[in-house]
Amino acid sequence: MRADLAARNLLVLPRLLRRAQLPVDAGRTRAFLAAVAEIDISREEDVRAAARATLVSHPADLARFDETFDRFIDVLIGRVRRVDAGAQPRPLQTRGTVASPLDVAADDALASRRREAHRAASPLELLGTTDFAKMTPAERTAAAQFLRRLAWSPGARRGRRRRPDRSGASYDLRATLRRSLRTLGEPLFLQRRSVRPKPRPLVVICDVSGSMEPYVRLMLHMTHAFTRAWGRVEVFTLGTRLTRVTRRLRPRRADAALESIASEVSDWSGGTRIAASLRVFNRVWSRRVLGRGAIVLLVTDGWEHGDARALLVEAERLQRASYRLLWLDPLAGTLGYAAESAGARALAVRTDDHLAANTLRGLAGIADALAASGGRRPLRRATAYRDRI
Amino acid sequence: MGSAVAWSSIDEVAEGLAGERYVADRALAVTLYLALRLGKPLFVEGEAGVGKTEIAKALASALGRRLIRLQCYEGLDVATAVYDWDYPRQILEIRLAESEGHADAARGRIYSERFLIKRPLLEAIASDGLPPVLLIDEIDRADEEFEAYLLELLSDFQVTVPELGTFRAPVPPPIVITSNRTREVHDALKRRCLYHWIDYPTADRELAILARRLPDVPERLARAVVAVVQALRGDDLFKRPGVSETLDWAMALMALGTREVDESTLSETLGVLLKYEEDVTRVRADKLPQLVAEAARAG
Repeated sequence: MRADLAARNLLVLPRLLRRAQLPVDAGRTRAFLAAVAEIDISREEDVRAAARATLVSHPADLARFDETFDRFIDVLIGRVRRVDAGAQPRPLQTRGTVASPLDVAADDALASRRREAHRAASPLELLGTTDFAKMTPAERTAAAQFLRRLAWSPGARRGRRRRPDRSGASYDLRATLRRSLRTLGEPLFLQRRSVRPKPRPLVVICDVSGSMEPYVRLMLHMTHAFTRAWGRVEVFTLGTRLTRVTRRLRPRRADAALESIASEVSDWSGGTRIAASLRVFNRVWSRRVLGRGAIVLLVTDGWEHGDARALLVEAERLQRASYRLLWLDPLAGTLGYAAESAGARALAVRTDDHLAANTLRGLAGIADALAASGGRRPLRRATAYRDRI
Repeated sequence: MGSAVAWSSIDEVAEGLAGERYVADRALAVTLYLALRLGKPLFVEGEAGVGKTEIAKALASALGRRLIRLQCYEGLDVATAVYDWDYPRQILEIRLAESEGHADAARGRIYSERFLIKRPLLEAIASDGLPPVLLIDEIDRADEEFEAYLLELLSDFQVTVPELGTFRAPVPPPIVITSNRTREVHDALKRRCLYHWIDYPTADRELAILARRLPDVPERLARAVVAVVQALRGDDLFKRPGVSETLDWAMALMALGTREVDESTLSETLGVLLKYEEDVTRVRADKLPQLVAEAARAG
């Protein structure tokens, strides 16, 4: 085989991978060609290993890589593989087949109670204590805009790095010595440093089941505001299963981000299996996203269709792994509410804060709670509860 | 770019590692061979205890090189990872220059290599003779700032000391970077490396590892040990046992003089395999007979 022909054939693989949505750029392709030049390309196994090492760098991409590589080899050597009907990719879910609470049109039932929303006044004054479930679409839009402008300030923890600071607690020997050279080697001016605080990572786990329907859109608006303001935010939705939607919240426009989430999440407005979903979170994600003193916002009404005892176990594990576990509960703000369902009782014991999340005033309070979670670990509610009994 | 490595084929890499009691599968041997040939760092990810760090150790002793290890942690900075200045000696040198009457010349004198303390990364770059193997362990524990610093080192194999100049490795040292994935490492770093994901081994490979590492363990016991561990990995646990747990457990059984896995020994030594109380409780409650049956079948 002529060398340039071989190279051209090999270049088909990066193209196929790109078509399979793997992030393969020119640099990786070059590394791949360099690698292949070093090995015996008649050994399929070795070519596969070389391609894997150079073109992939994420375990989640490995399965798609192997699939694409098989296709590539088939094409290369003209092998025909029987297509297994069961292995057909699932048809993409078209929008509209699942009732998504993110569609504004779903608000028709509430439109009959339309009130005049005055844009000029602050939404907090007008709507501060109105339950989200009772808002008109226009009011929700105003509320969403208000949420976007709310200054979410991250809680900070002590960092491990230091910065120059005239009134810092420790000395910077290197800078002091350098400064002393200007005074003929006499360290007249001591340079100081202080600890640089670091923002805490935030993890949002948002319930999207049927009972949460009136609240989901605004909760996701709030999460989008977090993501824009804060950066290090991981977002998951929880219904009958757990879905990671962090990347879906990247777009600058909140509506585009929410639309993108609607197309990804398949368990809108279904039942809730909080315990099972949290279990998946604890097994698969907690080690990866809960490092560095992360704060967790669990947005749910606590209606558990599964086993409440299992929820107690999983919530406890989640609480232990996070710096602080805040439960945002749309029901908590309603009059005469007490955590009575078995799921809600479990969460009440195993979360650090139980905050009302059904009004704008409530959400503004959450912003305060977040900013207040400082460097020192506060008393766990679970501990306080245990001590009482 | 070659890195002056004696190995000229993939088989030799596999044999070299096997000589150091490291059982590598074909994909790892290919990746490692390429890393050495192309002068690129090897980025290894996988669950805890599958032998990521061991790769670097085996590589160093197989090549007959020194191993320089940098354990990462949050806040790891240039002064502990790359270089630092010897401040007391610098101050003395200034005094000396002063007494000789040319204090203004002190500046040039104190920023020379004599006062430079080399930390692991600079040591790996600026060593004479054959380059050592550099192990950057658990990079996910370091913070983004340190990761960004590594970019220069990994692509050009050079370190810049502002007061002194740039150190450049004449031959790129073999570099192994490991990550436990407690957070996602940035793409910019990954794409400068060759990537390898280590999975839990199959039963056959785990048996081979056990035989290679602990040749004293009788084969029947080894089979039983591997069968139990493999069964545990299939279970829904918070933390599944790695290869290092397998080795620890085999050693524990040997130390107890056990030749057969029964329910009471398994229950007593479960803490060697499982490191979370809830996992131990779960397995002890209803999995013991099943695991012992697995062991008996394999043994």
